[in-house]
Amino acid sequence: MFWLAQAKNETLDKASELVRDITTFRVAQALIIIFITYWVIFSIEKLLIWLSEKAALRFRLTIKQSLPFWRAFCLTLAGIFLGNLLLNLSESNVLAVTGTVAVALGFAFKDYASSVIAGIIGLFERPYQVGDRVRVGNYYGEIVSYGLRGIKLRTPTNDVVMIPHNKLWTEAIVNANDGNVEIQVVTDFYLAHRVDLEKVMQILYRVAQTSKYTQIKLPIQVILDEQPWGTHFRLKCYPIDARDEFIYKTDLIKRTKQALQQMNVKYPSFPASEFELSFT
Amino acid sequence: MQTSSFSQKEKDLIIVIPNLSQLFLRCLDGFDAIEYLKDQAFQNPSIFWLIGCNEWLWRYLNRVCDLSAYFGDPISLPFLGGFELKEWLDPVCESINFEFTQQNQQKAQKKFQNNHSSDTNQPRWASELEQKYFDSLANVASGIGQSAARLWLYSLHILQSDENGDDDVDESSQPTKLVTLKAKLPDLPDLTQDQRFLLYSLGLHERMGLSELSISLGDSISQVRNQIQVLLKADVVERNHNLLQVNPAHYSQLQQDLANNYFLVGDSK
Repeated sequence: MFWLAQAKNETLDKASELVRDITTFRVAQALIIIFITYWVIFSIEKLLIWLSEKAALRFRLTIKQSLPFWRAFCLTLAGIFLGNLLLNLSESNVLAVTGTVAVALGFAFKDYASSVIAGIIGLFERPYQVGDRVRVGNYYGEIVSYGLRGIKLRTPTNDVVMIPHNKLWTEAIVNANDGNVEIQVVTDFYLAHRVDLEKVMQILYRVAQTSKYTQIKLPIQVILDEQPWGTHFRLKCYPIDARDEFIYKTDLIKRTKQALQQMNVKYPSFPASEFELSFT
Repeated sequence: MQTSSFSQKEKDLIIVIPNLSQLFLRCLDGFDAIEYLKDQAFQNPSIFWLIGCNEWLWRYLNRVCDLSAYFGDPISLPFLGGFELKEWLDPVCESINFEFTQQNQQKAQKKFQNNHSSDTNQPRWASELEQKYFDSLANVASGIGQSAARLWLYSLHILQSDENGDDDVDESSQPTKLVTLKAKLPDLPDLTQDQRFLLYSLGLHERMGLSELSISLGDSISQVRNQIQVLLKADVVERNHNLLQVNPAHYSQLQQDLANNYFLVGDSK
């Protein structure tokens, strides 16, 4: 406690040297800089999002992915202007105060600072970018915003979830498209053991090949797996636009089920004894 | 687009399919005829197949059914140049009287005569205006005949002749003349992704009815009808005897738009 109090007094002394005389004019200038920065970031964000939605698919993600860079650029520029305006940034002042301020900030805004640093590192490492579809913890969705502190995910239910960047340190981030427009959609079908495998596989291929959403340039695969209660068919294919992921899956399921119904294909049935076992 | 798979010596029989799109519908059961063709091509290697289809359909079917393995690589029809277009459109052009217009008409004509006075091998153009017009038409239409024909039609305009400058003359009695303005592409409106799906499907099948289109898209007829209505009004789609097709004037722009949005339509420029 004594050490903390002493550190606090020293910091206050050096901070007073560091801070320039605060005049009304300087405060007004600082407010104008903050306002302009906010306005520029807001405008750039709106403009880039508008542009990306108007542009062709091949340019959409490229435009959106530049958003964090422009935000960081504006904030850095504003920070430099504000620093020059309000602080007396001589070498000795900076060295003296930064260490102590860092300790104080570390205690007070540990998580915030961790998120900001993770966000800056994320700009270079690119574990995720705006437009990617990622799973973090229990949440899955499209990244619609890359902020200073975290990302915003739009989930399939149209909720927006804010996730701090510092999850990068502790959690696995599953990125489904990693900067690409295409995303693999895996659709599962469970049928009885005795179904005609050739016919079912042909139906699954045709369903994917004839869906309006399918990116026909990319491979379509049907994978089989055997389970004790039936056969598991896994259809893997890609939509033209990753945003159509769920409607694409719906289209595949709808048309497959219609075709299977016409063929009178049997679904797996569980023996009554198994149900009884599972309930006991 | 035409395909050939065998040399001339091996031909016993030639089968011509003018339009492959009529044998196919993009739905679960829509490939039976294509599979039959493949089967026939495999069982009867002495048959020479001459199949016509557009580039979008060929690329799609080649991806899904591997058509090139049976019918060889496609041969694209050459792009039509200005003179070919002129020769093709001449019978229609001769039936109506029209003039080619340009601002410095006399100067251009003199320059044209100087350039063409000694050279007898060049195509015979009536005037430089005509040559410029058809070269420009071929360029704008990307050498596609149907697009060029439509753009030629769009470029025709009626001008009221007011050379005398007499304001008192009744307008209805003034002589009119038909002129061609410079051919240009009509603006393609901003398309939504659903409209792109529809136009791509329509392009694959070239022309089709509303119910077939709805099957091809996997959507209900009412949904498709709503979209078609918007596209008809925007003149992107046209209807002929209840068959829908993409307006040929939009071909090149639409191809570019779809290619930019990752549809399988061929090389984008």
